[in-house]
This record gives sequence, structure tokens and C-alpha cells, in this order.
Amino acid sequence: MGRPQARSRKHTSKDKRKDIKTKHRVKDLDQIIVDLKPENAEKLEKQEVDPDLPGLGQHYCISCSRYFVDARALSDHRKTKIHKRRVKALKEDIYTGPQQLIDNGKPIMRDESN
Amino acid sequence: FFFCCLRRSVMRLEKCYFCESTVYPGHGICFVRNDCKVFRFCRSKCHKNFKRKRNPRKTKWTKAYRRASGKDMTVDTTLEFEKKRNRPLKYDRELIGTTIKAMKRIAEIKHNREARHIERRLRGKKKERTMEAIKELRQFKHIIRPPTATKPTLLQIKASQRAKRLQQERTKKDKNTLDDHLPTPVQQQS
Repeated sequence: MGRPQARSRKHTSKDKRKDIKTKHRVKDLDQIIVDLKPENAEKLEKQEVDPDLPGLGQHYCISCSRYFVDARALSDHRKTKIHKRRVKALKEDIYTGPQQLIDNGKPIMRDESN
Repeated sequence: FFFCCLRRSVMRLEKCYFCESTVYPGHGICFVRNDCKVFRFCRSKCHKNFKRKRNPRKTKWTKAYRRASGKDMTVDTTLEFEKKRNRPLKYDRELIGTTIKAMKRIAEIKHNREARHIERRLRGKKKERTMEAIKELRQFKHIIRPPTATKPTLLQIKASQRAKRLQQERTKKDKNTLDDHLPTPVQQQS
């Protein structure tokens, strides 16, 4: 018999892949915006050595929420279109949901109410 | 001690996170994220789009897109009523009654305003454009006329004719004023 047909990925759509499953879920843009705040960004750039993560968790791209194997991989990633697109998307207005809250949802303590 | 908590289940109509349609009890999926944010979806379509990380502001069939692109009304006082407040209110029967009446009326008004917004958008700018074109023509008609032409334009002819007519009427009027002083002959039927 002939050799098995090489599996071509030409006609698979990205959306059908398994990474859409909840267990493979990646951070949402509104979570990343929180991460980008200086207090949080500091912590994320200097993470503890974690053997389970790629590159021991030392090379993390905050805007893409991805770990890289080494510093070179991270710097190469920063030049890619995907990263640049993500950085641009984060600067735009992010959809936070349909609920509109008065006073931006600040909870009002019972003592303050009349 | 044993505390028996009588918990009354509150029915609440939620809004789908993705498309903003109403989620009735018993419908849809509710996803709670690691940071305790709750996402409600009206159907699997919205849920799947959310999992694919699509932006509702760019997905054409959602309310978020329609508002972002100005197809639906965004700024209106009736929309202020729909905002959720975290302030707990003391139960007041009258207040509840008037609120329910107000809700109906506000819904009516909002519906009408939204319809008008869409009507206005679909009407197009044909009328406005023609008015602008007329205005521009009037302003620059002297440029349209070729500089080497010696014959008067139709407009000029008509203008001069009109001037003549007016002058004739004026002279007639002057003649008539003399006649006005004389008594008008009244035909009496005998």
C-alpha cells in the first residue's frame, strides 16, 4: 500500500480547534488590561520560577498572556504581527458587557442610602 | 442552632453578554470566570462566539455593533433608566407601583425614538443634497456663465422682463390712484 496521506492543515479553520474548549481558555482582553496596570505588570514580569511553565515562567508577554522558552523567543515574539495586533487592540475601547451601571458600578454602602 | 433560610428565588431577566438580547429563566448558559465575573449567554451561538474570543463590537448582528456603528440609538434619556444601580432601596409599595407604570411608558417612548432614529438614518440625504446643490448654484451662477458670451442668459432675460412687468404695474397703479378718489360706479338693480 502507499504511504499514509500527509495530514494537511490547509482547510481546517482555527475556530474548530480544541483550544476553544474552556479548559484551554486564555485570558480575555479585559483581564489583560488589568494586568497591564503598573502594580500588576511588575509582578508579572518578575515571576517565581515555576518548572511547569515554559521557560520556568520567566519570559512572559503580558499583552498576549503567553510564556516563552527564553528571552530570545520573547523578543522575537514582540516583533510578530500577532503581538502588534494585540497591543493595538488593547489600546482601543474594550467591550465590557451590556450592563450599564450608574456611577460606574461603585457599590454604595447601606449607611449612605437614605 | 439550626437556621432555616427561606430563600425566595428571584426571577430576573438578564442581558446576554454577547448580543444583549434578554435571557429568560431556563435559557442559555452562564459562565463564571476565574475572577468571578459572570457572563450570561442567551444561546449557544453567543456562547460559541465568546469562546472564539470574537469582539461583539465587530460582530454585525449584535446590539453592541449596532450601537458602536450608529445604526441604533445610543444617546437618549430613556436609556438612562435602564442603568443598574447598586444602591439598595427600602421597599415602598407606592414606589413599586409608580415604577411599573413608568416602565411601560418609558418602554413605549424608547421604542418610538429608536424607530425614528432608524427612519432618519434610512431616509438618506437626497433632499439635503438637492438643497445644497441649489444653494451652491445660486452662489456661483456668475462663474457658470462663460465669460466670452455677449448674449444675455435666460436668467438675465427673465430678470429684465420681470423688471419691465413690475414697472408697468407700478405705472398702472399710479394711474389707478387718481381713479380711486372718484366714486366707483355702483350698479343698482332697480
